[in-house]
Amino acid sequence: MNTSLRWPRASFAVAVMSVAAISLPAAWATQLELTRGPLDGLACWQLWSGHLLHFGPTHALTDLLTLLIAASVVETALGTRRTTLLYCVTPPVLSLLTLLTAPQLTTYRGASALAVMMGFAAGGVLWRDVGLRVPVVLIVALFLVKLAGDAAGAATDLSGLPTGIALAWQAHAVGALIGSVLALHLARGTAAARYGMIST
Amino acid sequence: MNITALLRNSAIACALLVLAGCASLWHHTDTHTQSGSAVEYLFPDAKQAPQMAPGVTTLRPPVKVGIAFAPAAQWGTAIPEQQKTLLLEKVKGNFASLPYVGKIEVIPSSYLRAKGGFANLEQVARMFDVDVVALVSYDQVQFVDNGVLSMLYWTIVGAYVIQGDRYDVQTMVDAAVFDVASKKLLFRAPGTSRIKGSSTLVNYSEASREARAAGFDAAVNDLVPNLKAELERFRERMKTDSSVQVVNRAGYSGGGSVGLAGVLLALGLVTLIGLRRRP
Repeated sequence: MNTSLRWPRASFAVAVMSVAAISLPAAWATQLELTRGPLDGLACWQLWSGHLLHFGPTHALTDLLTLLIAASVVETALGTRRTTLLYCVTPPVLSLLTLLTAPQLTTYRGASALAVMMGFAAGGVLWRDVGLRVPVVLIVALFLVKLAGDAAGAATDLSGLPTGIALAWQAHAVGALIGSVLALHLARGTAAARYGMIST
Repeated sequence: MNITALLRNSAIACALLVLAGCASLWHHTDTHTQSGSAVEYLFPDAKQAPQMAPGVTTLRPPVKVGIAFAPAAQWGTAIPEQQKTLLLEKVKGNFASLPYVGKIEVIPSSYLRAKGGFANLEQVARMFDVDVVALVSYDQVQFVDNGVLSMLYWTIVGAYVIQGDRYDVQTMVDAAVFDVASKKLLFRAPGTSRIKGSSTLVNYSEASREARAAGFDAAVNDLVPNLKAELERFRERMKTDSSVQVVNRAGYSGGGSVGLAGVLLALGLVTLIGLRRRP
Protein backbone atom coordinates (compact mmCIF):
# COMPACT_ATOMS: atom_id res chain seq x y z
CA MET A 1 0.00 0.00 0.00
CA ASN A 2 1.40 3.35 -0.91
CA THR A 3 -1.56 5.54 -0.08
CA SER A 4 -3.27 6.45 3.16
CA LEU A 5 -7.03 6.13 3.34
CA ARG A 6 -8.85 9.32 2.47
CA TRP A 7 -12.02 10.67 4.01
CA PRO A 8 -14.86 9.27 1.84
CA ARG A 9 -16.64 12.50 1.01
CA ALA A 10 -19.24 11.06 -1.36
CA SER A 11 -20.07 8.24 1.06
CA PHE A 12 -20.22 10.70 3.94
CA ALA A 13 -22.77 12.76 1.98
CA VAL A 14 -24.85 9.59 1.51
CA ALA A 15 -24.58 8.87 5.24
CA VAL A 16 -25.63 12.43 6.15
CA MET A 17 -28.70 12.14 3.91
CA SER A 18 -29.52 8.82 5.47
CA VAL A 19 -29.23 10.18 9.02
CA ALA A 20 -31.41 13.15 8.07
CA ALA A 21 -34.01 10.75 6.70
CA ILE A 22 -34.48 9.25 10.19
CA SER A 23 -36.33 12.37 11.29
CA LEU A 24 -38.68 12.42 8.30
CA PRO A 25 -42.41 12.21 9.13
CA ALA A 26 -43.81 8.69 8.87
CA ALA A 27 -45.96 9.66 5.86
CA TRP A 28 -42.90 10.84 3.92
CA ALA A 29 -40.90 7.77 4.87
CA THR A 30 -43.71 5.59 3.53
CA GLN A 31 -43.43 7.38 0.20
CA LEU A 32 -39.65 7.02 0.08
CA GLU A 33 -39.16 3.42 1.21
CA LEU A 34 -38.69 0.87 -1.56
CA THR A 35 -41.93 -0.83 -2.52
CA ARG A 36 -42.86 -3.03 -5.47
CA GLY A 37 -44.20 0.08 -7.22
CA PRO A 38 -41.10 0.61 -9.39
CA LEU A 39 -41.63 -2.83 -10.94
CA ASP A 40 -44.91 -1.43 -12.29
CA GLY A 41 -43.26 1.82 -13.35
CA LEU A 42 -44.55 3.71 -10.28
CA ALA A 43 -42.62 5.80 -7.73
CA CYS A 44 -39.29 5.15 -9.43
CA TRP A 45 -37.45 7.46 -6.98
CA GLN A 46 -37.81 4.66 -4.44
CA LEU A 47 -35.09 2.75 -6.32
CA TRP A 48 -32.66 5.29 -4.83
CA SER A 49 -34.42 6.56 -1.72
CA GLY A 50 -35.11 3.12 -0.25
CA HIS A 51 -31.39 2.75 0.47
CA LEU A 52 -31.35 5.99 2.48
CA LEU A 53 -34.19 5.05 4.85
CA HIS A 54 -33.89 2.91 7.96
CA PHE A 55 -36.20 1.39 10.53
CA GLY A 56 -34.49 3.13 13.43
CA PRO A 57 -31.26 4.65 14.74
CA THR A 58 -29.59 1.30 15.55
CA HIS A 59 -30.36 -0.03 12.09
CA ALA A 60 -28.98 3.15 10.52
CA LEU A 61 -25.89 3.21 12.73
CA THR A 62 -24.66 -0.28 11.83
CA ASP A 63 -25.40 0.11 8.11
CA LEU A 64 -23.81 3.54 7.78
CA LEU A 65 -20.73 2.64 9.85
CA THR A 66 -20.12 -0.37 7.62
CA LEU A 67 -20.69 1.74 4.51
CA LEU A 68 -18.26 4.46 5.62
CA ILE A 69 -15.54 2.00 6.67
CA ALA A 70 -15.72 -0.01 3.43
CA ALA A 71 -16.16 3.11 1.29
CA SER A 72 -13.03 4.69 2.76
CA VAL A 73 -11.04 1.99 0.91
CA VAL A 74 -13.07 2.14 -2.31
CA GLU A 75 -13.32 5.93 -2.47
CA THR A 76 -9.57 6.28 -1.92
CA ALA A 77 -9.06 4.01 -4.92
CA LEU A 78 -11.81 5.38 -7.16
CA GLY A 79 -11.87 9.02 -6.17
CA THR A 80 -14.90 11.07 -5.12
CA ARG A 81 -16.30 11.69 -8.62
CA ARG A 82 -16.30 8.03 -9.66
CA THR A 83 -17.69 6.99 -6.28
CA THR A 84 -20.49 9.55 -6.66
CA LEU A 85 -21.24 8.06 -10.06
CA LEU A 86 -21.29 4.64 -8.43
CA TYR A 87 -23.91 5.85 -5.93
CA CYS A 88 -26.00 7.19 -8.79
CA VAL A 89 -25.87 4.07 -10.96
CA THR A 90 -25.87 1.09 -8.61
CA PRO A 91 -28.87 1.73 -6.26
CA PRO A 92 -31.55 1.08 -8.93
CA VAL A 93 -29.78 -2.13 -9.94
CA LEU A 94 -29.57 -3.25 -6.30
CA SER A 95 -33.23 -2.34 -5.72
CA LEU A 96 -34.60 -4.11 -8.79
CA LEU A 97 -32.56 -7.26 -8.20
CA THR A 98 -33.64 -7.29 -4.53
CA LEU A 99 -37.31 -7.02 -5.48
CA LEU A 100 -36.95 -9.74 -8.09
CA THR A 101 -35.13 -12.15 -5.77
CA ALA A 102 -37.55 -11.54 -2.87
CA PRO A 103 -41.04 -11.77 -4.39
CA GLN A 104 -42.81 -11.52 -1.00
CA LEU A 105 -40.91 -8.40 0.03
CA THR A 106 -43.37 -5.50 -0.01
CA THR A 107 -41.26 -2.75 1.52
CA TYR A 108 -37.53 -2.37 2.02
CA ARG A 109 -35.32 0.10 3.86
CA GLY A 110 -31.58 0.08 4.50
CA ALA A 111 -28.16 1.04 3.20
CA SER A 112 -26.80 -2.45 3.82
CA ALA A 113 -26.93 -3.51 0.17
CA LEU A 114 -24.72 -0.52 -0.64
CA ALA A 115 -22.50 -1.32 2.35
CA VAL A 116 -22.04 -4.95 1.27
CA MET A 117 -21.35 -3.84 -2.29
CA MET A 118 -18.68 -1.44 -1.01
CA GLY A 119 -17.27 -4.16 1.24
CA PHE A 120 -16.77 -6.53 -1.68
CA ALA A 121 -15.35 -3.72 -3.80
CA ALA A 122 -12.91 -2.92 -0.97
CA GLY A 123 -11.94 -6.60 -0.95
CA GLY A 124 -11.17 -6.23 -4.68
CA VAL A 125 -8.91 -3.27 -3.97
CA LEU A 126 -7.03 -5.18 -1.29
CA TRP A 127 -6.81 -8.33 -3.44
CA ARG A 128 -4.09 -6.70 -5.52
CA ASP A 129 -1.76 -6.96 -2.54
CA VAL A 130 -0.74 -10.62 -2.57
CA GLY A 131 0.00 -10.60 1.16
CA LEU A 132 -3.58 -9.62 1.96
CA ARG A 133 -5.34 -12.26 -0.12
CA VAL A 134 -5.66 -14.87 2.62
CA PRO A 135 -7.21 -12.53 5.22
CA VAL A 136 -9.49 -11.05 2.52
CA VAL A 137 -10.67 -14.55 1.60
CA LEU A 138 -11.26 -15.28 5.30
CA ILE A 139 -13.33 -12.13 5.75
CA VAL A 140 -15.36 -12.88 2.62
CA ALA A 141 -15.89 -16.45 3.84
CA LEU A 142 -17.09 -15.18 7.22
CA PHE A 143 -19.53 -12.86 5.46
CA LEU A 144 -20.84 -15.69 3.29
CA VAL A 145 -21.38 -17.83 6.41
CA LYS A 146 -23.35 -14.96 7.96
CA LEU A 147 -25.34 -14.56 4.73
CA ALA A 148 -26.15 -18.28 4.68
CA GLY A 149 -27.23 -18.07 8.34
CA ASP A 150 -29.48 -15.10 7.58
CA ALA A 151 -31.00 -16.94 4.61
CA ALA A 152 -31.63 -19.98 6.82
CA GLY A 153 -33.50 -17.81 9.30
CA ALA A 154 -30.81 -17.87 11.95
CA ALA A 155 -30.75 -14.07 12.20
CA THR A 156 -29.65 -12.74 15.55
CA ASP A 157 -30.79 -9.67 17.44
CA LEU A 158 -27.60 -7.95 16.27
CA SER A 159 -29.36 -6.92 13.07
CA GLY A 160 -30.74 -3.79 14.76
CA LEU A 161 -34.09 -4.32 13.07
CA PRO A 162 -37.25 -3.80 15.09
CA THR A 163 -39.53 -6.73 15.85
CA GLY A 164 -41.70 -7.62 12.90
CA ILE A 165 -39.23 -6.49 10.26
CA ALA A 166 -37.60 -9.37 8.46
CA LEU A 167 -33.96 -9.34 7.49
CA ALA A 168 -33.88 -8.91 3.72
CA TRP A 169 -30.79 -11.05 3.16
CA GLN A 170 -31.49 -11.04 -0.58
CA ALA A 171 -30.37 -7.39 -0.66
CA HIS A 172 -27.04 -8.45 0.84
CA ALA A 173 -26.63 -11.23 -1.71
CA VAL A 174 -27.33 -8.75 -4.52
CA GLY A 175 -24.89 -6.27 -2.94
CA ALA A 176 -22.25 -9.01 -2.82
CA LEU A 177 -22.89 -9.83 -6.48
CA ILE A 178 -22.57 -6.24 -7.71
CA GLY A 179 -19.63 -5.70 -5.34
CA SER A 180 -17.89 -8.74 -6.79
CA VAL A 181 -18.22 -7.30 -10.30
CA LEU A 182 -16.66 -4.06 -9.05
CA ALA A 183 -14.00 -6.06 -7.20
CA LEU A 184 -13.02 -7.86 -10.42
CA HIS A 185 -12.47 -4.49 -12.03
CA LEU A 186 -10.63 -3.00 -9.07
CA ALA A 187 -8.49 -6.09 -8.47
CA ARG A 188 -6.87 -5.74 -11.85
CA GLY A 189 -3.47 -4.25 -11.30
CA THR A 190 -3.77 -1.61 -13.95
CA ALA A 191 -7.11 -0.35 -12.73
CA ALA A 192 -6.02 -0.28 -9.09
CA ALA A 193 -2.74 1.40 -9.93
CA ARG A 194 -4.53 3.95 -12.08
CA TYR A 195 -6.63 4.95 -9.11
CA GLY A 196 -3.45 5.40 -7.05
CA MET A 197 -4.35 2.92 -4.31
CA ILE A 198 -2.17 -0.05 -5.07
CA SER A 199 1.52 -0.17 -5.79
CA THR A 200 2.20 -2.50 -8.68
CA MET B 1 -103.32 41.57 62.27
CA ASN B 2 -106.09 42.05 59.75
CA ILE B 3 -107.33 39.44 57.32
CA THR B 4 -105.52 40.99 54.31
CA ALA B 5 -102.15 40.87 56.06
CA LEU B 6 -102.75 37.30 57.18
CA LEU B 7 -103.62 36.19 53.67
CA ARG B 8 -100.57 37.95 52.20
CA ASN B 9 -98.19 36.35 54.70
CA SER B 10 -99.77 32.96 54.14
CA ALA B 11 -99.41 33.33 50.37
CA ILE B 12 -95.73 34.25 50.71
CA ALA B 13 -95.09 31.30 53.00
CA CYS B 14 -96.86 28.91 50.60
CA ALA B 15 -94.93 30.28 47.65
CA LEU B 16 -91.64 29.81 49.51
CA LEU B 17 -92.55 26.28 50.44
CA VAL B 18 -93.57 25.42 46.90
CA LEU B 19 -90.47 26.96 45.39
CA ALA B 20 -88.21 25.33 47.96
CA GLY B 21 -89.93 22.08 47.24
CA CYS B 22 -89.26 22.51 43.53
CA ALA B 23 -85.61 23.16 44.22
CA SER B 24 -85.46 20.12 46.47
CA LEU B 25 -86.91 18.00 43.70
CA TRP B 26 -83.99 18.98 41.45
CA HIS B 27 -81.37 17.93 43.99
CA HIS B 28 -78.91 15.25 42.75
CA THR B 29 -77.76 12.79 45.32
CA ASP B 30 -77.52 9.65 43.18
CA THR B 31 -74.49 8.00 41.55
CA HIS B 32 -74.07 7.48 37.84
CA THR B 33 -72.21 4.47 36.48
CA GLN B 34 -71.02 3.44 33.02
CA SER B 35 -69.27 0.15 32.49
CA GLY B 36 -68.30 -2.45 29.95
CA SER B 37 -66.22 -5.47 30.84
CA ALA B 38 -64.09 -7.61 28.54
CA VAL B 39 -64.41 -10.50 31.00
CA GLU B 40 -68.21 -10.38 30.91
CA TYR B 41 -68.08 -10.13 27.13
CA LEU B 42 -65.62 -12.97 26.53
CA PHE B 43 -66.52 -15.28 29.39
CA PRO B 44 -70.25 -14.78 29.99
CA ASP B 45 -71.81 -16.63 32.93
CA ALA B 46 -68.47 -18.27 33.69
CA LYS B 47 -68.59 -20.15 36.97
CA GLN B 48 -64.95 -21.21 36.81
CA ALA B 49 -61.76 -19.56 35.69
CA PRO B 50 -61.38 -19.95 31.91
CA GLN B 51 -59.12 -22.82 30.89
CA MET B 52 -56.65 -21.78 28.24
CA ALA B 53 -55.55 -24.54 25.91
CA PRO B 54 -51.74 -24.72 25.78
CA GLY B 55 -50.44 -23.92 22.34
CA VAL B 56 -48.30 -21.61 20.32
CA THR B 57 -49.56 -18.15 19.46
CA THR B 58 -48.38 -17.17 16.01
CA LEU B 59 -48.02 -13.49 15.20
CA ARG B 60 -47.49 -12.46 11.60
CA PRO B 61 -46.12 -8.93 11.41
CA PRO B 62 -47.12 -6.43 10.31
CA VAL B 63 -49.91 -7.34 12.70
CA LYS B 64 -53.46 -6.26 11.86
CA VAL B 65 -55.08 -4.90 15.00
CA GLY B 66 -58.70 -4.18 15.87
CA ILE B 67 -59.58 -1.96 18.79
CA ALA B 68 -62.99 -1.77 20.44
CA PHE B 69 -64.72 -0.94 23.68
CA ALA B 70 -66.16 -3.98 25.41
CA PRO B 71 -69.95 -3.89 25.11
CA ALA B 72 -71.94 -2.83 28.15
CA ALA B 73 -73.62 -5.72 29.93
CA GLN B 74 -76.66 -3.61 30.79
CA TRP B 75 -78.54 -1.38 28.42
CA GLY B 76 -78.07 2.32 29.11
CA THR B 77 -74.72 2.07 30.85
CA ALA B 78 -72.56 2.48 27.76
CA ILE B 79 -70.54 5.47 26.63
CA PRO B 80 -71.99 7.29 23.59
CA GLU B 81 -70.66 5.76 20.37
CA GLN B 82 -69.27 9.03 19.08
CA GLN B 83 -67.22 9.47 22.23
CA LYS B 84 -65.96 5.89 21.99
CA THR B 85 -64.80 6.47 18.44
CA LEU B 86 -62.92 9.64 19.40
CA LEU B 87 -61.18 7.88 22.27
CA LEU B 88 -60.23 4.86 20.17
CA GLU B 89 -58.95 7.09 17.37
CA LYS B 90 -56.68 8.72 19.94
CA VAL B 91 -55.25 5.33 20.94
CA LYS B 92 -54.93 4.35 17.28
CA GLY B 93 -52.98 7.53 16.50
CA ASN B 94 -50.35 6.59 19.07
CA PHE B 95 -49.68 3.13 17.67
CA ALA B 96 -50.42 3.37 13.93
CA SER B 97 -46.87 4.38 12.98
CA LEU B 98 -45.20 1.32 14.54
CA PRO B 99 -43.49 -0.66 11.77
CA TYR B 100 -44.72 -4.03 13.02
CA VAL B 101 -48.33 -2.85 13.12
CA GLY B 102 -49.94 -3.23 9.72
CA LYS B 103 -53.23 -1.47 10.36
CA ILE B 104 -55.45 -0.55 13.27
CA GLU B 105 -59.21 -0.81 12.75
CA VAL B 106 -61.57 0.96 15.13
CA ILE B 107 -64.45 -1.49 15.63
CA PRO B 108 -67.81 0.10 16.48
CA SER B 109 -69.47 -1.38 19.57
CA SER B 110 -72.58 -2.19 17.57
CA TYR B 111 -70.66 -5.10 16.04
CA LEU B 112 -69.94 -6.60 19.46
CA ARG B 113 -72.82 -8.46 21.03
CA ALA B 114 -73.14 -8.32 24.82
CA LYS B 115 -71.83 -11.60 26.29
CA GLY B 116 -70.89 -12.62 22.75
CA GLY B 117 -67.75 -14.47 23.82
CA PHE B 118 -64.90 -15.47 21.56
CA ALA B 119 -67.35 -16.68 18.92
CA ASN B 120 -68.55 -13.11 18.42
CA LEU B 121 -64.98 -11.79 18.61
CA GLU B 122 -63.87 -14.19 15.86
CA GLN B 123 -66.77 -13.09 13.63
CA VAL B 124 -65.84 -9.44 14.10
CA ALA B 125 -62.13 -10.16 13.54
CA ARG B 126 -62.96 -11.90 10.26
CA MET B 127 -65.24 -9.07 9.20
CA PHE B 128 -62.63 -6.39 9.88
CA ASP B 129 -59.71 -8.60 8.76
CA VAL B 130 -57.69 -8.29 11.98
CA ASP B 131 -55.49 -10.82 13.81
CA VAL B 132 -55.37 -9.20 17.20
CA VAL B 133 -58.08 -7.29 19.08
CA ALA B 134 -57.52 -4.80 21.87
CA LEU B 135 -60.66 -4.82 24.03
CA VAL B 136 -61.04 -1.78 26.21
CA SER B 137 -63.01 -2.38 29.39
CA TYR B 138 -64.27 0.65 31.26
CA ASP B 139 -65.85 1.44 34.55
CA GLN B 140 -66.87 4.94 35.53
CA VAL B 141 -68.63 5.98 38.70
CA GLN B 142 -69.84 9.47 39.34
CA PHE B 143 -70.56 10.36 42.96
CA VAL B 144 -72.70 13.40 43.70
CA ASP B 145 -72.88 15.32 46.96
CA ASN B 146 -74.86 18.37 47.94
CA GLY B 147 -72.73 20.95 49.70
CA VAL B 148 -73.92 23.23 52.48
CA LEU B 149 -74.38 25.99 49.93
CA SER B 150 -77.04 23.94 48.18
CA MET B 151 -79.37 25.12 50.94
CA LEU B 152 -79.53 28.36 49.00
CA TYR B 153 -81.20 26.61 46.06
CA TRP B 154 -84.53 27.32 47.71
CA THR B 155 -84.08 30.97 46.82
CA ILE B 156 -84.39 30.00 43.11
CA VAL B 157 -81.75 32.61 42.30
CA GLY B 158 -79.32 30.40 44.24
CA ALA B 159 -80.05 27.53 41.89
CA TYR B 160 -78.56 29.61 39.11
CA VAL B 161 -75.54 31.10 40.84
CA ILE B 162 -74.58 28.89 43.79
CA GLN B 163 -72.33 25.91 42.96
CA GLY B 164 -73.82 23.66 45.59
CA ASP B 165 -73.61 20.29 43.79
CA ARG B 166 -70.24 18.56 43.99
CA TYR B 167 -69.33 15.64 41.78
CA ASP B 168 -66.44 13.21 41.82
CA VAL B 169 -65.94 11.15 38.63
CA GLN B 170 -63.67 8.12 38.94
CA THR B 171 -62.81 6.33 35.70
CA MET B 172 -60.86 3.20 34.95
CA VAL B 173 -60.12 1.88 31.47
CA ASP B 174 -58.21 -1.30 30.79
CA ALA B 175 -56.99 -2.43 27.38
CA ALA B 176 -56.56 -6.20 27.05
CA VAL B 177 -54.92 -7.34 23.81
CA PHE B 178 -56.07 -10.76 22.60
CA ASP B 179 -54.79 -12.93 19.79
CA VAL B 180 -58.06 -14.01 18.20
CA ALA B 181 -56.87 -17.31 16.70
CA SER B 182 -55.34 -18.69 19.92
CA LYS B 183 -57.71 -16.74 22.25
CA LYS B 184 -54.64 -15.80 24.24
CA LEU B 185 -54.27 -12.63 26.27
CA LEU B 186 -51.02 -11.12 25.01
CA PHE B 187 -50.79 -8.19 27.39
CA ARG B 188 -52.92 -5.59 29.14
CA ALA B 189 -52.55 -2.09 30.49
CA PRO B 190 -54.75 0.17 32.67
CA GLY B 191 -55.52 3.87 32.71
CA THR B 192 -57.28 5.77 35.46
CA SER B 193 -58.50 9.26 36.18
CA ARG B 194 -60.35 11.23 38.82
CA ILE B 195 -62.19 14.44 38.02
CA LYS B 196 -63.70 16.58 40.76
CA GLY B 197 -65.85 19.65 40.39
CA SER B 198 -68.96 21.48 41.37
CA SER B 199 -71.80 23.15 39.59
CA THR B 200 -74.96 25.12 40.04
CA LEU B 201 -78.22 23.25 40.21
CA VAL B 202 -79.39 24.27 36.76
CA ASN B 203 -76.03 23.56 35.10
CA TYR B 204 -75.50 20.28 36.89
CA SER B 205 -76.59 18.01 34.06
CA GLU B 206 -74.29 19.64 31.50
CA ALA B 207 -71.35 19.96 33.91
CA SER B 208 -71.55 16.36 35.05
CA ARG B 209 -71.80 15.12 31.45
CA GLU B 210 -68.69 17.12 30.55
CA ALA B 211 -66.92 15.77 33.63
CA ARG B 212 -67.72 12.19 32.63
CA ALA B 213 -66.36 12.83 29.12
CA ALA B 214 -63.26 14.50 30.59
CA GLY B 215 -62.84 11.50 32.90
CA PHE B 216 -62.69 9.10 29.96
CA ASP B 217 -60.38 11.44 28.08
CA ALA B 218 -57.96 11.64 31.00
CA ALA B 219 -58.12 7.88 31.61
CA VAL B 220 -57.27 7.16 27.96
CA ASN B 221 -54.41 9.67 28.16
CA ASP B 222 -53.15 7.69 31.14
CA LEU B 223 -53.69 4.40 29.29
CA VAL B 224 -51.61 5.22 26.20
CA PRO B 225 -48.15 5.39 27.86
CA ASN B 226 -48.98 2.35 29.99
CA LEU B 227 -49.98 0.43 26.88
CA LYS B 228 -46.76 1.46 25.11
CA ALA B 229 -44.70 0.28 28.07
CA GLU B 230 -46.57 -3.03 28.20
CA LEU B 231 -46.08 -3.49 24.46
CA GLU B 232 -42.34 -3.04 24.89
CA ARG B 233 -42.31 -5.53 27.76
CA PHE B 234 -44.28 -7.98 25.60
CA ARG B 235 -41.76 -7.60 22.77
CA GLU B 236 -38.94 -8.40 25.19
CA ARG B 237 -40.88 -11.33 26.63
CA MET B 238 -41.51 -12.71 23.13
CA LYS B 239 -37.78 -13.31 22.68
CA THR B 240 -37.77 -15.88 25.46
CA ASP B 241 -41.41 -17.04 25.45
CA SER B 242 -41.63 -20.15 23.32
CA SER B 243 -45.43 -19.97 23.32
CA VAL B 244 -45.34 -16.90 21.08
CA GLN B 245 -43.91 -17.28 17.60
CA VAL B 246 -43.29 -14.56 15.04
CA VAL B 247 -43.69 -15.65 11.42
CA ASN B 248 -43.41 -13.52 8.33
CA ARG B 249 -46.65 -13.29 6.41
CA ALA B 250 -46.72 -13.28 2.64
CA GLY B 251 -45.85 -9.73 1.78
CA TYR B 252 -43.48 -8.69 4.55
CA SER B 253 -41.42 -5.61 5.32
CA GLY B 254 -37.73 -6.19 5.09
CA GLY B 255 -34.73 -4.26 6.24
CA GLY B 256 -31.26 -4.58 4.88
CA SER B 257 -29.14 -4.62 8.00
CA VAL B 258 -25.56 -5.82 8.16
CA GLY B 259 -25.66 -5.58 11.93
CA LEU B 260 -22.72 -5.57 14.27
CA ALA B 261 -21.13 -8.47 12.38
CA GLY B 262 -21.01 -6.33 9.22
CA VAL B 263 -19.31 -3.47 11.06
CA LEU B 264 -16.69 -5.86 12.47
CA LEU B 265 -16.01 -7.44 9.05
CA ALA B 266 -15.58 -4.01 7.45
CA LEU B 267 -13.27 -2.99 10.28
CA GLY B 268 -11.33 -6.19 9.60
CA LEU B 269 -10.76 -5.10 6.00
CA VAL B 270 -9.45 -1.68 7.03
CA THR B 271 -7.28 -3.17 9.76
CA LEU B 272 -5.55 -5.26 7.08
CA ILE B 273 -4.34 -2.06 5.41
CA GLY B 274 -3.02 -0.76 8.71
CA LEU B 275 -1.18 -4.01 9.42
CA ARG B 276 0.27 -4.09 5.90
CA ARG B 277 1.65 -0.57 6.19
CA ARG B 278 3.76 -1.45 9.21
CA PRO B 279 7.44 -2.03 8.32
